[in-house]
Amino acid sequence: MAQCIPTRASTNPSVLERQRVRLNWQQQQSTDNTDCIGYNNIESFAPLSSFDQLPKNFVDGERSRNESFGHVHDPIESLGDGWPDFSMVNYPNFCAINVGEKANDKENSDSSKKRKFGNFSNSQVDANNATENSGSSKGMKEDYVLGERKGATGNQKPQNKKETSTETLKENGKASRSSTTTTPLKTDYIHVRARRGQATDSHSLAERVRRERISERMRYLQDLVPGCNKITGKAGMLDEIINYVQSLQRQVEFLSMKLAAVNPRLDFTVDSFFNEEMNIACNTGLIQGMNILLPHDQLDPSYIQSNALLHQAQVGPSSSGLDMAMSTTQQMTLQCPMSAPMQLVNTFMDSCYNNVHGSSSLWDQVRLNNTFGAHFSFQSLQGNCLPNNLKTETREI
Amino acid sequence: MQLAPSLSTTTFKQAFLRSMLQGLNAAASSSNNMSFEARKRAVKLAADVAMACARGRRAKWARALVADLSAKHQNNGALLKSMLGEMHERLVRVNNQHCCRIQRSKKILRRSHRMCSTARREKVLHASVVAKSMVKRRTKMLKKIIPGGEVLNGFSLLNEALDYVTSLQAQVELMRSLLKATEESNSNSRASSKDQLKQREGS
Repeated sequence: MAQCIPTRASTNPSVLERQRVRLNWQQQQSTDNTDCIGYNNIESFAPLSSFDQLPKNFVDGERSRNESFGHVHDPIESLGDGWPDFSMVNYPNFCAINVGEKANDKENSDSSKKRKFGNFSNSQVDANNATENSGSSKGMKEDYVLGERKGATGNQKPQNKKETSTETLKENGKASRSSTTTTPLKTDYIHVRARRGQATDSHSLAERVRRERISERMRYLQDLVPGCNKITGKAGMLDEIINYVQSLQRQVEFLSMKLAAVNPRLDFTVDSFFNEEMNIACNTGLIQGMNILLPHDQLDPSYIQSNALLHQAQVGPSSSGLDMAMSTTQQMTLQCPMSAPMQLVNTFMDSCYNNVHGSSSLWDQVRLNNTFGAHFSFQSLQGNCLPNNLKTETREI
Repeated sequence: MQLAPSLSTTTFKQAFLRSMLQGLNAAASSSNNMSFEARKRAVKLAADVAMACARGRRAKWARALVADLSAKHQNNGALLKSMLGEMHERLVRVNNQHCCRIQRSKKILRRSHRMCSTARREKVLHASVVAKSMVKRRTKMLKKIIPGGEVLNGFSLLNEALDYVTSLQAQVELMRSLLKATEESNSNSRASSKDQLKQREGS
């Protein structure tokens, strides 16, 4: 390590040289991944590539964090006087980059400090967006990144005002924060870190946790509600959510009116749906309709897998055409509810007839299902349709 | 993922469709001389009840929805009971406990508002204050829209809103597909009956 310190003599090493030293040190540390991961706590960084391996390491990391801290600290101490605090500030960043995938190349090629942090936060943001489902650590990650950015770009000379991290243990009844990312700990504590330059009393930390949870929910809602990508800020988002909920409720009213009109006797029974002559047409209608139910729920990872299976089971282009039809029809219904239904039916009919020549396995199951009822179309839509399922369903009815 | 696992899987939609059909059949059995308006209300009731039942007791909005529906009697009582079946008592019982809580908290809120409003006389309208009041107004509106949202605060309100939006989407799609299926079956039956008539005339 000593050879990597060309500028020890100067009291203010240039930025470039500092970075070079850091990088070299980081590369040396890259061989020792577990330490890095161990240092990265639940709430700080969960790099994508090693996410699956993390749980065990988190446990160890939790307990041995202090040890790893000390372990890492030593080589840094050996670098010199001005280094320790600086590296304490920046170490977590680089550990995360190190374990992350593409960021490494970018970091090595960049030479300016600000861009480095910009890339870092970008890679973290990408990781965040990709690991949407891992929810709980996300909010904390971003805040921590921002905090580091502020702290690091603000001071060229490392200042030793406070400890960079203070921990407070907070009891929390809900297991939500700790659910996806480990806690084998028996008590549900939330480990919260105060950012550099932030108040560290329990009240503000509690507020910060609360705010992060709320913003996490807002992000999920942003994904659900169409057309909210560009809206930032709570008030606008709430506006959109309210409008969307109201429009959905209006749609339900309208559809119920239509259903009452179409079927004067309200007999939505099996017989009316499935006559043998119109078997095929009706089933495609219902199946395609049910299929459209599925693309909407995008939050459950298990759903995503089943959706993937479904798309494999069906003809590719027609199902994607359906998705497109769905998105367009949704917009249509939002804007002009009166004329939409006929267009809906037309688009569905077209796509249905295109799909008539679709996968044969689906058709066989459809014919099997024809006397058993509407909800069997769900079964046929699942990626793994077992005849056992059909038999059990008959018993229920 | 914090959302209940029952929400996004196919089992939810299956349960939804099943209870929807059940509810519609229950409505059909008592629909001999119903007006159009009444039929529409019955269909909507069936859809809402099916959505709430499929979601289960875990979602607060589901329970609140059922409570609201049973509260507005309007000839709905018997129908609702027949739709719900055994779930009815379970769902309704839980809600009565919540009602008391609502009243108590409102009293306290009113008192605190009175104190605050008398204390505050001159305050500069900072941007933060304006922003906060905007958000407050909107959260109030959201509370009105989402069933059972009035008791909830901040995080849980957003949670319930998330749940509610996904199930509303599922409800809309389900009804749309039902509509489509019935329309197609109607048109096909009409076509087949026309063919039969032609055949009979021909022979």
